[in-house]
Amino acid sequence: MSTAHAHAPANTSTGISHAKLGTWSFLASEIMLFGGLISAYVILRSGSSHMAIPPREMMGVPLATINTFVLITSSVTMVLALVGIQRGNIQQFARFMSCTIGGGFIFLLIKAYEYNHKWHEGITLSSNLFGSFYYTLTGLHVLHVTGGIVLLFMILFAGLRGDYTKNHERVECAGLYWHFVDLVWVILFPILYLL
Amino acid sequence: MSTEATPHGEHDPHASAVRTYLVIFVTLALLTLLTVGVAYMKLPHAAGVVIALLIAAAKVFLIAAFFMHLRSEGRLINVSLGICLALVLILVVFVLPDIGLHELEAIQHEKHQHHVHLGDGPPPAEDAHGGGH
Repeated sequence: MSTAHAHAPANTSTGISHAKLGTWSFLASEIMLFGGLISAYVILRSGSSHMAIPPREMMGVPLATINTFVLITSSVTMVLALVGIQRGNIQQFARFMSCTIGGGFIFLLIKAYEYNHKWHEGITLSSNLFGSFYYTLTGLHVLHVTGGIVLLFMILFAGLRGDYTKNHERVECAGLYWHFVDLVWVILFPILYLL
Repeated sequence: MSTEATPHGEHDPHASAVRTYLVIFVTLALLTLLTVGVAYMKLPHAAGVVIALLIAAAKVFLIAAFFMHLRSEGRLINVSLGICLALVLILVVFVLPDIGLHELEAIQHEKHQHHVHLGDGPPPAEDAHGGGH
């Protein structure tokens, strides 16, 4: 499969296109952003007596599991949208891109329901250290999902206009961002809900 | 990479990639179910944590390698991300031994208090230093 996505080296000093190098640099800074917060959570969870973990029943594991499936599904529809534009098949691109955006909206809807439920259960930003970390980590992730949806809408409309029939690199870069958002959730899900 | 014939007789270079994506998708879904299943098993806490983190690491690898195409990226991007990951791990790993030491001291302190409460006399000499911090 790898050769389907292997590009000829770009005409730059690194052999990597500016768009892709810029996207990966941005993602590296995102790794440090989430990495810093996640490591702080792990350390305080291991060493702080103020980290009262709510029982699993209060955390809503089934909904979080559904959200994990939603994001994984949206990741696969994202790569299928990329394959669509690489094939020059705008219909396939638009169909899978719409599914990806739909997945993002479903994730946000479930998250909104979850926040409301948790808030009424007494897990708030100021309830304890866990509450602060829960809303900071998932809130930052929700912001990334929201930003991703806006980006994917822009890519979808540009794709429908025919902007990416020859050069589909922007679709690939948007996909990299969306997969990163999925990847962060894959880490947040077990450490916040299951352990 | 193998190519497959389309209904129009042309070769589609993306057919095997699509198949790989679907296999990865199913694997990720199964790993998610496994994570949840393991969490509800009555495993020792440490074992549960290790298994959950291993499964999460496997999922991260699959997403990065296949969906983000890191497998086919050049050395520059892979090495840069490797350094990034190492820096994040430093944030966690370099502090955890200190937490472990404090937890050990807390346990020893608790033992010391227990001995005093039961009136068993002074605890062994090495315990007497345990809760000092």
